[in-house]
Parts: sequence; structure tokens; C-alpha cells
Amino acid sequence: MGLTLEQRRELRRRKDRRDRIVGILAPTFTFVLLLAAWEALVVWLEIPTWQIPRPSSVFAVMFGSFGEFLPHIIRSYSTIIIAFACASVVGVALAAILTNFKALGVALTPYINMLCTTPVITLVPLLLLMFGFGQWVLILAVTLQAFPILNMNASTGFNNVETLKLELMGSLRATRVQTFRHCILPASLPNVFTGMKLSGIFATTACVSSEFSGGNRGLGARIIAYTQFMKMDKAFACIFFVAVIGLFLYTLTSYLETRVVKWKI
Amino acid sequence: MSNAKIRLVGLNKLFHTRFQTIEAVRNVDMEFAAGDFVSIIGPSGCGKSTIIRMIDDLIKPTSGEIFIDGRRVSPHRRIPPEVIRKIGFIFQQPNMYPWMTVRENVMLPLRVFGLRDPEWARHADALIEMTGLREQRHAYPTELSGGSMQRAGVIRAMVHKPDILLMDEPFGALDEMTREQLNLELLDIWRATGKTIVFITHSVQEAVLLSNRVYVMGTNPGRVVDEIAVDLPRPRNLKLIVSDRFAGYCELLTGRIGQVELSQIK
Repeated sequence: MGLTLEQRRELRRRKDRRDRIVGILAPTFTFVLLLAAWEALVVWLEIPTWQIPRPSSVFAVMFGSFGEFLPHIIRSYSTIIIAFACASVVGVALAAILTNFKALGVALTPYINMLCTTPVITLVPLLLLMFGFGQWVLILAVTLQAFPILNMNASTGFNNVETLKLELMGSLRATRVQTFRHCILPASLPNVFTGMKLSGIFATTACVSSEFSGGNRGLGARIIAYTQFMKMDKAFACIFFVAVIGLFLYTLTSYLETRVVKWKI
Repeated sequence: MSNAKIRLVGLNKLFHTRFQTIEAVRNVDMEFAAGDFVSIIGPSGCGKSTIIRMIDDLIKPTSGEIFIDGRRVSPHRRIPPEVIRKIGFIFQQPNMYPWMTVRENVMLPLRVFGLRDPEWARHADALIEMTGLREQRHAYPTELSGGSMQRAGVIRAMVHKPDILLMDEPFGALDEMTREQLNLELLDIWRATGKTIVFITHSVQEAVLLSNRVYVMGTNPGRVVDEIAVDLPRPRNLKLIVSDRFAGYCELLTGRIGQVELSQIK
């Protein structure tokens, strides 16, 4: 241990940088390989393009007909992002409240869990019938599906802080708010971020499946429409656009985690 | 003696689990004079950790009374904040928060108590300087050795200038050499500041090296079985450990603890 703190940190930073480069290159390589295999299989086996399109034609359509997709991309992405933001706030805030007021937690937790295990798509036709096809109805539905999983993860974190760590706050006679801010929340951040990653996945799934069930706007609705007319290249283009937003939310959360949880080596 | 810093009178503590009731502490009377260094020693399960947790009001006694500076603080109501500020609690493990740097950890009590005057921050930095942690003050606890972490744990408990330090086997998890080093540093701090220290340990040598007085406790139920004054010259150092008188005290204490354990078997 002849190294100073700064030297050790520099070594770690260098290692992190190496890991990051490998972390980008390796998956990209896999991606290209998979697409190449897909393209080759479709050509060799002479699969009709109305069954499975070639990735090259999917990409061509994605960029060539981008204007056609754009309003639906905006619609779906905005639904997902707004609902994800709402779910993040509601999920963490509710977990903080429910773990602090035990009786309320016991009273509500089973129903929040039920909300999590019930597919929101079962509610959407009902909601659309009641409130019409406005975007906010979908935002509401997607939020309902996305926040409980975050709430569950955050609650698990908030409830399982080491006794010794809480005792320190107890010995200083910290208030509930101080205890939450200095001890419980930072100790649970890994759980919160896991919850957010899952919440992003839930939001994406919920949005697309909600769009399946009604209306003619959004990527989900387009997938149904294009499939009916056997425009498989366009349907796949929509699937790719959905994949992009899902991946974006996941990557964003992971990035936030590394920035916020910087004490984890 | 009404001028005792801390006085425990007829303290009892029952823990109720689902299957049984455990008598953790029975009828404990203890006194700690201002500026005294007193150890509490005993086998695990003798209630020594429970006792200092009751002094710090982390656990409520079932019955009995606790006085701090002649003022009754337990069991009837919550310990008042000005009394809490007189106490610094040092845990078995360093118990640093991994999400804060060493300096932030040390300053944490100041934040919780709302002591925002820059004078306090300077005091914290002086303590960091004193323990040789200056280089590492912006490091995270996981980047520190066990000994350095517990040094930070000790000064965190001292940062709000308490009169009393309650130490719950603070160096128990450290290796022998680091432990001796920290014991000597603790004696220096004690000599310089004159704080009242209640020190829990299960090491006979540590108790003899550090304290003026040792309470020996037994188990089932946890109770005080003996009180031994350690009449060795101060300042004490490691040379003392090889002296005959030191060995004599260790033998005496070991004997008393041994008797307690034998009586358990019977």
C-alpha cells in the first residue's frame, strides 16, 4: 500500500475508462454480428419479406420514412418519459411515507402490490371508454403500471437499513426527516435505482401495450396497423424505435446511478 | 455521592421475544465521577452493551433511574436535547456512513445538531488533524484502513464537545497492534480533555491499561458482580503491561470473571 489516495484513485479511473471502452465496443460488435446473421438467414432461407424483413430494409425505412414515424415517436416517447418521471417521484415519495407511517403502509401496500401484478392493459379499454383517447389517459395508465415496482424496491431499501447505522442517528437524536435524509435515503439508493430501471421497463411495456388496445396514435398503434397491412419492415422499424427509448431510460438510470452512488467502488 | 457525572440506580431491563422474556440487566447500580475512566467488563450476554445504550437513551430501562449531572433523565420521559449533546457514542464498528467522506462523517453530528458556526468546522478539522487523518479527509471510508476508520469514529463522537464518551467495545474488531496504538491515543485524548469515559470491553488487559475502575459483570441475569479499582500510575504506557503490578491486576480480574463463569456452569 505504498500508493497515495490520489494515485489509487487515478489507477481506478484508468481501469474504469478501459472498462467503459470495452463496455461499448463489445456489445456493439455483438449487435452487428446478430444483424448480419439475421440478414444472411433471411436471404439464404428465402424467407418472404412479409414474414420477416431484412434488417437492412428496416434501417432503410427507419431513416427513409422518418417523417411518417415522427409524430408517433413523439407521442410514445413523451408518454413514456412523462409517465416515467411521474412514477419516479410518486414511487419514491410514497415509499418514504409508507415506511415512516407503518399503519398506512400496512393498509396500502397490498393494493400497491396488486397494481403492480395486474397488467395495466386490462384497465386501458375501460379508461379510454371513460375518458376518451386523450394522451393524459395513457400517461395515467402508464404511471399506474410503472410506479409500484419502484415503490416496492424503494420500500425494501428504506425498511432494511442496518440497525447500527440507524442507531447513530438515534444517538444524535436526529429527527425523522434528518434520519431519512442523512441515513435511510443514501443507504437505499442502490434499491431505488434498481426500482427505477425496472420502472422504465414497465413504463415502455405499458405504453406500447396501451397503444395496442386503442387509438391510432403512438408506436404501439402503428405496429398493429403495419402488421395488418403486412408492412413488416415498417412494423419492425417501430419495434426498433420502442427498443431505443427502453434502452435510453435504462442507460440514463445506470448513468445517474454511477454519478450519484460515487462511493461504491 | 451527588456529584457523580452519571449515576445508575436499580436499573432493570427485560427483553420480550416471541418465545421468552430475557432479563438482560438486573438491579444495576453504577456511578461514574466527572473525568473518570471506567470500564465495564464481562462475558457476552452480560448486558454491558444494554447498559450504555440505556445511558444514551437508545433503549428504555424497564425500571430504575438514570441521572446525568444530577438530573434524572430516565425512564419517564425522553432525554432532553441538551443532555444528549453531553454524550458521544462510539460503536463496536467504526459505523462510518459509506456515502460520506471522512470529513463529512466527522461533521455529521454538527449538521444534525444544527451547529453551523464556522468555529465548529474548525474544531472538526483540528480533530482530524490531531488523529492524522488530514490526508484522507476527502476519502470515502472504504478507502481507509480499519484503524483509521475507528479513529474517525472516535472523533466523530467528540466533534460536538461532549463531556461523556460512551464506548461500546470500540477497538474489539481491530488487530492487536492497532488496538494497542488506539488505546494509547485514547489515553492521550482523555488526559488532554478530561472527559468522562465509560468503556465496554471483553479484554482484561485493555480494561486494566485504560481504566481507574472496572465493573465486572455476570450473565443470566446481567448483573454487577464486582467493582475493582485499578491503582496504577499515570500516564500509562506499553511498558506498564510487562510490569508485575499490571499482571497482578489482570490475574485478579481474570479470576473474578472466571468465578462468574464457573458459577454459571454449576
